[in-house]
Amino acid sequence: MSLLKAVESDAGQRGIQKVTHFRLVVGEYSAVSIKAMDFALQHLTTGTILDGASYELVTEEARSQCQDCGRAFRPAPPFFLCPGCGRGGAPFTCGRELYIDYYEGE
Amino acid sequence: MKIYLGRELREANKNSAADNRMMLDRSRVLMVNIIGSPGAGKTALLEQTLRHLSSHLTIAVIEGDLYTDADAKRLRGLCAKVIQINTEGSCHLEAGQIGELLVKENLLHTDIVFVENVGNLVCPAAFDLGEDLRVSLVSVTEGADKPCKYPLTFRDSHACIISKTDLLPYCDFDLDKVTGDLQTINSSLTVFTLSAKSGEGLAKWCRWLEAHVAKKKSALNSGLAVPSRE
Repeated sequence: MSLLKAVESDAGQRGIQKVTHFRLVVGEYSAVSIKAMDFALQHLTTGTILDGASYELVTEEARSQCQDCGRAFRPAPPFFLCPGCGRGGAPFTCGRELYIDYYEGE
Repeated sequence: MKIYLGRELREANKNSAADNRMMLDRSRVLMVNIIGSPGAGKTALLEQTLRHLSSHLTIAVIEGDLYTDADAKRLRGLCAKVIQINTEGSCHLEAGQIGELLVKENLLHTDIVFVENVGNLVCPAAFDLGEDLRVSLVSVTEGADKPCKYPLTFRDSHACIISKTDLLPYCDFDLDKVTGDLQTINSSLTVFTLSAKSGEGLAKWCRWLEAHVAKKKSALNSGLAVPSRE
C-alpha cells in the first residue's frame, strides 16, 4: 500500500493519469519475500493507477564493509563474517531496503 | 515519461520511529522492545521483571498479539499501565502504533516502557519502533539452532535472553554453542541466561535494566547515542 500511495501521490502532482511500468527493489535482507510481493502486486493494484502496469521486481544483493580491515564484501548468513579478517559485526551498506526505483507513466 | 522516485516504502515507519525516539529522549523514558518466538517466555519474563522493578520504577507495558488480551491480563496489577494492541493478522508492531500510545496513554511520564512484540523472530527485526534497547529471547526448548536460523534478529539486538534455563537438564540444548553463535553473530550482544520460573539470572537482568534507566535519566539534553541499525 505504501507503493500505491507513493506513486499515486507523485503521479498526481505531475498530472500522470496512468502508470505503464515500474521497478521495485527488494533488499536481500529486507524481510520481504519476492514471491509474496509479486502475488500482492498482481492483486492490490487492481483499480488503481498501477492497474495493468508491467513491473520489475529486483533483488538487491547485500553488501558490507568490514570495520576492522576495511574490506567490502557480500555478507553471508548466519554469521556475516568478513572473508578477509574473519571478524563479524560489519554493518550492511545495502541489502535491507525496499524501495520504488522508478515508474513510467503517461 | 520515466520518473525516478527512489522512495523507501517503509519510510513512514522510519519517520515514526525517529519521532518516538525523540519523544522518549526528551522525556528520558527508556523503551525496551522484546522480540521472540511464540512461547519463548516473553510474558513470563515480563511478569517476573515487573515484580522486581515495579516497587521503585514506574513501568508501562505495551502488549502486541494478533488476537486476545490474554497477555495483558497476566500483567495487569503488576505495573502502572498495561495496554494491549491486537494486530488482527499482522506479524509485527509498527512505530506509528507505539507513538500513538506514548502520547494518548501518557506513557512519557514513566521510567520504562516495555513493548512485547508479536511472537515472531522474522518481521519484528525489520521494524524499528524507536526503542532504546532491543532484547531478543531464545528459550532452551526451542533448540540451539535458532540464532543461526534467524540471525538478523540477534544481530540487531542489544541483549539476548536465553530463557527457561530450569529446563536445561531435560533438553538437548548446547548452551555453550548457542552463546558462542550469538557472540559471533553480534560481538556487542549482552547475553543473559535466565529462568523466569526459578528466578535464576533474573537479578542480573534487572540490574542491567536499572543501569540503563539511570543512564537515560542522567543523559544531558536529548539524544542518547542509539546504535545504528543500518
